[in-house]
Amino acid sequence: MKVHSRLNSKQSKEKRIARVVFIAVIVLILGMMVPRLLMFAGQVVLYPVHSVHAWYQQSTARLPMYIKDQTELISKITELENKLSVAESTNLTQQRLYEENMWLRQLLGVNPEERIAAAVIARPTELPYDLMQIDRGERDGIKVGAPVYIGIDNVIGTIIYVAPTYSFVELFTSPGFSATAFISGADVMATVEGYGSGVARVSVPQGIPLSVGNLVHVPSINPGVFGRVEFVENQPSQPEQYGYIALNKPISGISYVAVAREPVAVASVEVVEQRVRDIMRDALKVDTKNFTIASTTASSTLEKLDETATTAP
Amino acid sequence: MIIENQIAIAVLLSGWFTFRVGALWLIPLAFLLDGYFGAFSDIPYISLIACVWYIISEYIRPRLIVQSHSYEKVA
Repeated sequence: MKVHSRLNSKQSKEKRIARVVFIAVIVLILGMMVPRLLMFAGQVVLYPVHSVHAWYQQSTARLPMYIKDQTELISKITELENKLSVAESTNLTQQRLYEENMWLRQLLGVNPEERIAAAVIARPTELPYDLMQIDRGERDGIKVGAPVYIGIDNVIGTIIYVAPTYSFVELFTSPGFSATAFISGADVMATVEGYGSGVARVSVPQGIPLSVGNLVHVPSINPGVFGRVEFVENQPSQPEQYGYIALNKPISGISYVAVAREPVAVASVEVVEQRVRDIMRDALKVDTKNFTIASTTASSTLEKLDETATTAP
Repeated sequence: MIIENQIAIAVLLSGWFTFRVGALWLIPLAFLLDGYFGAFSDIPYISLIACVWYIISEYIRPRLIVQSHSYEKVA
């Protein structure tokens, strides 16, 4: 009895499945033949869902905005956490490279120069732009022409005036200032010109791959990184392209600087040419005073050696 | 990521609904969804999956849900 009922229920179940599948297939075929029919039905039935979705996406009401803001904040936090972990590892690498660099410099006999720490006592807008006053002067060993740093190798300007107790720093961004710089990335030497208002400009010919983020070094000051290219102005019709460099730190945010003890060793083109000429002249000169006349008593020649070799028993 | 989460939620809900109520009502829902998204002009994947899922679930459900009392009633 039980077995019979089970068989019956199984058969009826299979019939039910077959019926449902048959109806579903018919609806599918009908839907594919007349897609608009089911589309309309779907739009009508799912209209409330669509409305809620549109309200959530587009509304500026408090609730959707709160939920959206929270979602955005969570994703932003995740993104920042990822960036932080990357930055931490990069920082570790930088630290290792820095220590390795210092160690190699020591091995090569390059001793880091001593610097004088100074506080900034006046800056724009109290002074003209691109000028700073520091609280160290001649008494502390400050000299005109000494480079001024923020950080380890970020050079921002030079001392232009020294009083007994204070000095003035002219920033590289001052109008009229110009220096030869090396742009890493583009790997080209170019002239940096002060543009004023905390901005300097470097001009390079068209075709050189100058891009935002390129480091600008000042080779005459060692170590001397001036900054990064922040903006590139490139008009194909112009013969040159310009890269604009701003200070890494806003002038108003600079409270302490480090001043090198010795001024920048500036060598003009004439001086360099004269020195090269002197070296060449010295190289061509033969110092006869230190010559000693050397004589020898040896008289063997190749012919004599051959003769002795043939006559020998 | 969000779409993957939504699909995962939909799959979980469908599974739960299937074993609590049955997969029959998922078929008309799948028709409506395919109609809403205009899938009938191409291939209505959701409807096809729903049909296949209905057939599979009808064979799986009795094995998962113990219905001893219903057999006794039939007997």
